[in-house]
Amino acid sequence: MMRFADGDAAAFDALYSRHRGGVYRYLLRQCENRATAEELFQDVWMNLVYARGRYQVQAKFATYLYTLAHNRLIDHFRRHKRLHLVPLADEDADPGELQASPALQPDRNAQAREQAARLLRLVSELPEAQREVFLLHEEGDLSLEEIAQVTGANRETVKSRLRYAMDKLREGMKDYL
Amino acid sequence: MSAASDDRELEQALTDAAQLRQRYRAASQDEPSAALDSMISSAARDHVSRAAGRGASRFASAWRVPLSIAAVVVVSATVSILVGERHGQLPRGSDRSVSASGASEDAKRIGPGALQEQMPAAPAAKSQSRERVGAEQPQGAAPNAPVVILHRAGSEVRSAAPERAPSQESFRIQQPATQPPGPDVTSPAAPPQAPPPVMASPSTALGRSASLRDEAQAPEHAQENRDRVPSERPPEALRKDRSAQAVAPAAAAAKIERDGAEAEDKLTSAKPVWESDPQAWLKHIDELRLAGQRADADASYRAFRDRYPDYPLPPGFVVPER
Repeated sequence: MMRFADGDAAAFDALYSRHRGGVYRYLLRQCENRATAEELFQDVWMNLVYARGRYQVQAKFATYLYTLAHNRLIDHFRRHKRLHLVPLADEDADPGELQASPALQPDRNAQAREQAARLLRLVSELPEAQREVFLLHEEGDLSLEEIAQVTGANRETVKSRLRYAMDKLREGMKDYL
Repeated sequence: MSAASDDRELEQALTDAAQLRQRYRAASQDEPSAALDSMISSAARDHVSRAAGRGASRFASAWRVPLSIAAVVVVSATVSILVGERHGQLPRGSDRSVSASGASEDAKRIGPGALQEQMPAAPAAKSQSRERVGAEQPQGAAPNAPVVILHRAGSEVRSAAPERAPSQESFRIQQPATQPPGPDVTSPAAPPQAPPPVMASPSTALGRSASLRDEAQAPEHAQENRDRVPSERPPEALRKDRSAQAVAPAAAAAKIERDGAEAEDKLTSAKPVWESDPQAWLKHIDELRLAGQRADADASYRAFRDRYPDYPLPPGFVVPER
């Protein structure tokens, strides 16, 4: 990031290729809309580009990047009053598959797709704070301390939220595990 | 429950949920579109390049005013210096032109040697003076006396402004047609010649003679004057000058003295012939005495003795007495 702050455009490409997927999925799982996620995703990276001159090394770059994404999401939620859109899993998946018993699905690939869709649906059904902690932990590979830094919560709260999130997901996926 | 035990429980929960996490990562493969990737990358590159341009323009804008002020100061100073030099030279040039235009009177009054001392020190002023001398030469002036003065002045000017092209030194060729077709002393091809013998008036000749004597008494000045002129003389003239410079200073002084004597002889040529011959002079005195003009004879004898104090009187010569 320091190289990019000094005007090295190639350094930006390296940063982008390394974090593009995680940030995008973090935004997508949070706002649950692909177009909105892409808009927010673009805003996050543009904010990073514009703020490159003010960048100071205070933490891991991923922490800084996900802080930008978190703040952008907060702005988005405040502006749109947290509209509950159609869950992402419902956009592509057949609702009937999610409700069907896995034992009745002989096709293995279809079963895996069903398990993934259910898992994503469970993630989307997590409370917002737990979902955010879970996504930052899984998509951003952030530690508890880094998640606490991004969200502004203390470490114990983050740890508790993460534990609750993992317990709910495990409970929702107990039929597939 | 302590924080450490909570951490251990969390670690255990995450380990137990490893399969769940693996399934989640397998299920979550969403990626931004390639169009979005290229748009963000190009936007970042554009921003970097624009920032570099803004940095350069910021530097230019920051230095625009100081550089403009500096340029104005430099131009103003240059113009002021040029105008000041021009205004400072005009009075000197006009003075020189005045003195040069009245050079004939000055030369008649104080001689060429003094005129040399009045020549300006600045080459540009000398050049202007020379040009003005050539331009202000009166059409109907006596041809000889101005030529002598101009030769002296021209030599001095040429020696002081060697950077002028030889062709530019031929201004005297364009003298009025009333001048006699004398030797062109300024022509680059013509060897330097002595100024034409001018006996327009005794005072001029005396001044010339006095100048020659001054040069003989101060050979370093004569040498300096000779050193100045060869820079614009043709090679053969330079060789002659160098060979002349190789002569002993005594010979040079004798030559100058001889020239002076010749000039004085020519000056005294207006006097009676017998004054140049002691015997004829004594004979003339004797004739005056015999004619009863004792006062004249006595005066002439005194003049004779002043001129020839040791000349032996011929036998039988009677010294006139009043």
